[in-house]
Amino acid sequence: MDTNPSPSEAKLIQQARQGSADAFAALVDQHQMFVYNLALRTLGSPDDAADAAQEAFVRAWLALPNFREQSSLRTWLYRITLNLCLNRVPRLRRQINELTSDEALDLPEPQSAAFDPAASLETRQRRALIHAEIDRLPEQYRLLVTLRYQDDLAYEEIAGLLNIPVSAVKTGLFRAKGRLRQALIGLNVYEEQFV
Amino acid sequence: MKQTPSDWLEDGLETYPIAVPPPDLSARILRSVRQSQGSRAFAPARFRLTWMDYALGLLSLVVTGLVVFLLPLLPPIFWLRLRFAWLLLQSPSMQPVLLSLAVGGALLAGLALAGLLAALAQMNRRTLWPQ
Repeated sequence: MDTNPSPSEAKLIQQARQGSADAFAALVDQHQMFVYNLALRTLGSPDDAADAAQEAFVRAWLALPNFREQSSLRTWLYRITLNLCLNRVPRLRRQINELTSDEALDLPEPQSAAFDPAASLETRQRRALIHAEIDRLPEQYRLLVTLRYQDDLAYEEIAGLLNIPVSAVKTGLFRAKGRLRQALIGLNVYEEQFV
Repeated sequence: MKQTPSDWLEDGLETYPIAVPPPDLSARILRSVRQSQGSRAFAPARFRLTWMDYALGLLSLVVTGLVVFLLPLLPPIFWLRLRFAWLLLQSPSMQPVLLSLAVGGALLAGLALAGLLAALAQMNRRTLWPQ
């Protein structure tokens, strides 16, 4: 994620830092969806996620004079949101730290055989199944998937946010995909490729 | 175009939808922000009792209770010895000891006060979340 804010965002940050609630409101509009999404994927409950997002923005407002723009505003907001979520779900910190000691699963690589669209599930149905399985992943894996695929963060950025090694991020994502693959095999989505 | 199961999985991950926040979230946030506007110049941590507070409270209660209940039970000889020690402390030969104690106490109090002030200054200066 680019740490340099766009000129308009930089101006809004500057104005908000000087006390402009309207400028901060514009920043809230720009970032609330991502903050809420991160909280929801971490906490699992829409009500808890809305509370966490609200608290994250209030804390951001209070701490904005100290924001030194060494990271992007969104990354900074993510850090605040994650800290709040980790406070609410203390076991998540342990689960994230345990990623470091995880060993990579010895999963069979999917074959690259030709795919017959006519014999497969419709793309939309397949996506819906995968999305449902992502929702069922343990919190630490869902968090990694959210940061990597929804927020498009680099491995290094995720590692920095979660304060874990880059290798743990890669292992975690590998395991998340492994779990998804196994779940989808169970649902016969991969049936034709693996059987 | 031919696709593999890995492609399906990547496709599913990349199309995982971003959740839409409730429509009133923005208004809720801004209401909270406006309420906290006055406290922005000095943003103290939210008051919250921890287990340590309860433990210290319990300890204080127990110690106070023990003092209240045990003092009347002390034998009269204890009070006589205490008065004797007090008189002894007031004698001229004990002046250097008293002076040393006073200087040492003042030094410790000064160090504690300096530490407290440094901690307060650090709290005001620090960024709540590292960048």
